[in-house]
Amino acid sequence: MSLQGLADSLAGTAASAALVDRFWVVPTMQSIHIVAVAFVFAGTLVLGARTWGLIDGRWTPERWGRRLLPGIWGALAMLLLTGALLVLAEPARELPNPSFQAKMVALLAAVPVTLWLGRRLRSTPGTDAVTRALAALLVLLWLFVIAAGRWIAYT
Amino acid sequence: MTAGAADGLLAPMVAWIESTTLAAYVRESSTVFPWLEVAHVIGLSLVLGTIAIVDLRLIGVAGTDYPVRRLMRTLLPITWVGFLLALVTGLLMFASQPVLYLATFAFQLKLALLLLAGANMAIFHLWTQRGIGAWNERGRPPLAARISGLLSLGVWIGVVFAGRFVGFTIDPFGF
Repeated sequence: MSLQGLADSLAGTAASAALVDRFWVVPTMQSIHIVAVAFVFAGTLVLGARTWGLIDGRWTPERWGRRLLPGIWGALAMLLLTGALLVLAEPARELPNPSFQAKMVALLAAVPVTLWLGRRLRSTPGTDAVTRALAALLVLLWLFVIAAGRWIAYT
Repeated sequence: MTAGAADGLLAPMVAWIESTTLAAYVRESSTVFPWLEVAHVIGLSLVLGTIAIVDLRLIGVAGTDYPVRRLMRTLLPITWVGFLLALVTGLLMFASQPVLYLATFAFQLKLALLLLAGANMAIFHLWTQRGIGAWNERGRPPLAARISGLLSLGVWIGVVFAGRFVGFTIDPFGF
């Protein structure tokens, strides 16, 4: 089935109608979505800033990872949940939309990069070039996700 | 701020803002407003995400072996950069249709919450922080500091919610 076909059949479900009929549901889901992306993006940036040696060295990068990564994963789960509900509510706005598709590609890349970064922080004392590069890549991926996400409304 | 603010003393100023070339540019370009929104989300993400780390430390639930003052010195500069970015982009979006924004309830609520966040911060820096020497180093801060952290986290999340409802209410090209 094409994405447009999937969008059409999702739009016909009772669940979709229930979400979109209540005017406050979509903006509320979007608000939770933005709060969660704030935690993921800022958490990643702080982690990156520490691995690049730009902020205070009281905690090692590994300690910062233990502090921030569980929250980043939790927020990521929240992003997926609210994102799935937003797609269900307005499938035709999302699935065939090039901005949405680009966002999903970046998101699919961000998950393994986050896993890899977490593993390197645990296994490598201090930081090396690979860890710093992974953190930089992840910050760029999230900037892309944020930009593509906002552009869904205009594409 | 009431719905009538744009009709009162502020009216000439609001009318002037709306008539500027810059406001017209934001209003009429099909790409400027979306990019302002992107930068606004990046700015607010930096504010909320970094302030949340500080707030959770103040509440005493995470990172309690990081000295409070040192954590604030480490993260608050990032918070301020994010705030400036959100402020500048927010003002530009506001300038595009100021009368409409001022008359929107979600926008009024957002301004009120921003004032509350500022007041909470001022109270923390002027009073709550005075005895910080006793609880700076580690462990759970006293009740006043915990309340301050909880209030800050709640109010900033409220700002994001109110802001999204502003975007949901006002169509940037619908005039």
